[in-house]
Amino acid sequence: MTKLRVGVGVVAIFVLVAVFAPLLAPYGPNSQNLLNRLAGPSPAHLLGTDAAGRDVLSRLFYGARVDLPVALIAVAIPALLGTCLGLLAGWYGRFVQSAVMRTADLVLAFPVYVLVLALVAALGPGARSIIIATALVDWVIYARLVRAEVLQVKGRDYIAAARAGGLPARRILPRHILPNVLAQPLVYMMSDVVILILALSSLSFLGVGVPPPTAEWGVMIAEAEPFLRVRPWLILPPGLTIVLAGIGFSMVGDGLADRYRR
Amino acid sequence: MHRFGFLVRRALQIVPLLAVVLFVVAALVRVVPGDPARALLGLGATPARAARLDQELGVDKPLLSGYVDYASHAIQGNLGNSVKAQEPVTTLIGERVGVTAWLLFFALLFALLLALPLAILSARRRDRPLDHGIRGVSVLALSIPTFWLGLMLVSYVALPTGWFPVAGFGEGLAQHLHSIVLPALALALAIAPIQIRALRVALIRALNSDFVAAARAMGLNERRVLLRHALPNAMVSSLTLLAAQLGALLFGEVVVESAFALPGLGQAMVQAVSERDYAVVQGITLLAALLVILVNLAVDVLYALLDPRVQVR
Repeated sequence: MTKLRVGVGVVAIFVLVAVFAPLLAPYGPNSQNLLNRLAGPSPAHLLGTDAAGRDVLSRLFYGARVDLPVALIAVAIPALLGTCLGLLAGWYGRFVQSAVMRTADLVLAFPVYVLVLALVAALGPGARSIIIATALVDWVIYARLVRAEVLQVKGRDYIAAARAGGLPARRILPRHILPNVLAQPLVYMMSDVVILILALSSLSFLGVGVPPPTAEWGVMIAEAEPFLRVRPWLILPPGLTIVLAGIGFSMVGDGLADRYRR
Repeated sequence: MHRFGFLVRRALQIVPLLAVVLFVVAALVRVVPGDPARALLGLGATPARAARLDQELGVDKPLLSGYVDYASHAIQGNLGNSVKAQEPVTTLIGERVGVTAWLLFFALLFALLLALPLAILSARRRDRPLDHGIRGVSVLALSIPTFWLGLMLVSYVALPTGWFPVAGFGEGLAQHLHSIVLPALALALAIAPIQIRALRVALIRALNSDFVAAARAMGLNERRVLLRHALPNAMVSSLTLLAAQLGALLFGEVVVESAFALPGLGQAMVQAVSERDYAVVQGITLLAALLVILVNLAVDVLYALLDPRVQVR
């Protein structure tokens, strides 16, 4: 239970920072001061400044407004799509099931994020492409998870009762099946958000994600890379921020999993 | 005989899968908004040049015949030409696949060397502080961006000590080995946490099973029980994990190659993506998918050979 609390606390802090970034950040994310480049921590710049003299702390805060929403949207769309398809595949027999599951097998024949990378090549760089590419690929995992659950729940007595009572599928599926199969996809969503934050910052680092000079954590690491020799600490704040966000969401996921297991 | 039938049927399953994978790869250029040739060549392209490239990428034809062309060429070992590098994609892949193979091999080796002892420790000290510690660190490690870990190794290990090259692959075997250590370590640390977790669970299950109880009852010491009886069993059941992790491994490969400037397929992929060199993107994607399909097949076959309970499906 403490795991869940700590996790929710960490995530809440990130969300608050993202929402109130303009109020919390001491400087604008892109306001440069070329006379004060690559400075170490000081009272005026708690985490120092980067190569363009921008305040690192402010960029971290504004970065939360890019990484979190993009990751959450990129997870929500395939989660929704996959859950619906999984429900249908589990409920309706042969044809729907094999159509959905064969497509899923096909998608799984690709290494997921290499396919996302290839799709980004086709759609052009940017957050929008990453969201679309993830939606095309990631629904598979949710569909498989939900289908497996539906197959189990389907045989229970209360579903038989609902059917015997003459309820149509459009009522049984959302009212009686859905609430009982949500645990698995919900838990997985949390690790998926972690994966997406990592993927988004990785793609930005590779130069095919969010374009610079947007304040995004991966972009910040990429911008610090040329100065590894002289200012090795510059990669610390954005990297540790990503790790902390990841730990927060992982703990929420673990906490939820523990709770559902009981 | 049943077993043989299963193997043949399982092997034949990859034929339709390959056909559809080829279709997806061929269709990749079709998702490009507007005209791929224009996107690649830029606004300065002459109409003749753009038309030739469209023809080469097969987008001047209907989807289906474009696919048939791409697939039949691919089967004959022709993946088109890289526009930027001015050479066949297969040549480009051939030049770079070695680096990628080195990195994959050593990353897997390091990950195994890391995961095996930690999982054993964790399973034997189940629910004790050491177990909690190892599990906590694995959760933490899962949140570390691999490219950042690579850069951390560069700035806090390679640069201060001067023991390792910071970038590139060097010349000759000794330099190759030398320059692969840190990238492989970064990649290994990215995949080890999941291996530790899965191996730990499999070990605990094996240690609680009847055959281990029987081995103990025969008076074998705990060390022998663990290494000779529980561990092989746990490793077989976590074999499928390798296949499941391959996607993450390959993406990590791309990222690590870029962070350490290793001239492998991952770096070529990133370069091709940012330059919109579609034929290269298609070729490398196809190769990666092929690897996933073959590894899955190999794992299934191995599984069937190692575990006699696997029945004909």
